[in-house]
Amino acid sequence: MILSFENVHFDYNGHSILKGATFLMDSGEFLYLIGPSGVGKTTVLKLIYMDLKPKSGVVAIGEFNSQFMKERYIPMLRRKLGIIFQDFRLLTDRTIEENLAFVLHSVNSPKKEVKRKIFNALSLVGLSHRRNSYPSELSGGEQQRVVIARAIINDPILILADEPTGNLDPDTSKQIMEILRDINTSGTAVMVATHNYELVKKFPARILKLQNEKISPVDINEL
Amino acid sequence: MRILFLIKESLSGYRRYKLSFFLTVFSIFIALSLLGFFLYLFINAQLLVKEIRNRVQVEAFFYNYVKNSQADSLIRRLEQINGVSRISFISKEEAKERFVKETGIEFKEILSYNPLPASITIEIKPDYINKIFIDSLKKVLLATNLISDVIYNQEFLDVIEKRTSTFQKVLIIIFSIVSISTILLISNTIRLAMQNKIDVINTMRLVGATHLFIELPFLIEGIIVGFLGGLLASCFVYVMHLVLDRIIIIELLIDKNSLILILTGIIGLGISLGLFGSYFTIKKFLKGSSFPK
Repeated sequence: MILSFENVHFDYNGHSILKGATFLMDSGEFLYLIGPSGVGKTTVLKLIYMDLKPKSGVVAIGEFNSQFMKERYIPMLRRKLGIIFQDFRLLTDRTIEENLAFVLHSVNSPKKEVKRKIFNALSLVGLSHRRNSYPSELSGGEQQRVVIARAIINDPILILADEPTGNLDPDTSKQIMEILRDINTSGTAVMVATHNYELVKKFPARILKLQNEKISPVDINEL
Repeated sequence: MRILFLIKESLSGYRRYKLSFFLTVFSIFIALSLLGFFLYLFINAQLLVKEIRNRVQVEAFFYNYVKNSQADSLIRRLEQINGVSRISFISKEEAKERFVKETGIEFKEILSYNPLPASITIEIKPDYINKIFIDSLKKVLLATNLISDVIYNQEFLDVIEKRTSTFQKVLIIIFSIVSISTILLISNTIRLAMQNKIDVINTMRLVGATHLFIELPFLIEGIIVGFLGGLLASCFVYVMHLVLDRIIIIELLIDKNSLILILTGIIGLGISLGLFGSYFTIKKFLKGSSFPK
């Protein structure tokens, strides 16, 4: 087991988002978190990467436990996660290679490994030939592939993808999902938060639905 | 940690907010120049006071009936007092000679006798030159019934001391204002830098950079801004020193070491204020922000 959500309660200024949400995720698992827009999927992801703290209950990722974890250890947790956003959030004034190098420098990665890691990550998403391009020179799909490369560059144990295909056309969305699937096949757990049910049907996996402040399993046939 | 990476990161934002950066350096330069120059004048004034103090002498005049042996005995007693450094005796004859030399008046033509009393000049050790010691010395002298009057340049000393004390207070006020305004200026620059670099900060947090690692480029930036402002202010004070010394030609008591201390002190103060300004700003910024929704 890689992730555990136990009886988690959370609210934003009194507006309840989660009331006793509970679920588990296994190592190497591919998992969907679905639900309509605004229901709190992003909040669940933020609770996992500990940008937010539960009001009560426990979020545990590997050896990191929200109940006992001090703030200074949060960076250590994030080094074990890869986070993907819908809106890419690449540094626009740097090339693709610089974007990835920035990540490695930020976590003090050994200098001799930087080039190799960048090459591996870009090769995996099929963009090694675009390493000197700036984000603005890439299509939306290519930018999202760079974001995936950024997420996997530190060999995470879990990838959290928040609406990774939200800004992309169906064909590109399919390519992105295929890349995520490949990453998962190589042993990294992947959790995708989405409201794109068609995509979920095309790439079936275990599904959790966030509804009425609870998280519950859903069968693919119910979508 | 990669020092080059951190320095590069701290300098990377300047392209976007050049004007704000230069305005901050310029403002710090003005503020620290003002402070540095006042400090320079203050130290000079302190040295001047010290010099004047060293020249303070107490003069005690004997009654006419006092014999030389009595005067000698008093001098020997006075020499035992802590704080008295040297005593010189001026006889009636010597006093007359000085009077004639200074005024050109030969009073033998008017008076048949020498009206000037014999006196002693008492030099006081610098640490003892204060009103309390001199007043107590005066009491001792008058109590002997050998001395008719005691004079010293007390008023002048009082004025000098009062002026330096006022100057010191003004300096403290200026120092406080300059420090606060410098911190605010630096804080503003750093805040602008952080807003410009919010994507960079969020990416760093996202991938697990430690707080210190995120803070360091901004702390370095604060140090650079403070250093540049301090360096310029230091140059300004040095130029003013040369102007006073060589062009206006004022007698400057400040020595080379004190001058170097002031100049490096200004740079050090600039760096410290830059560091503190950026430290508090980034702490506040990181505490109050999280990833965008």
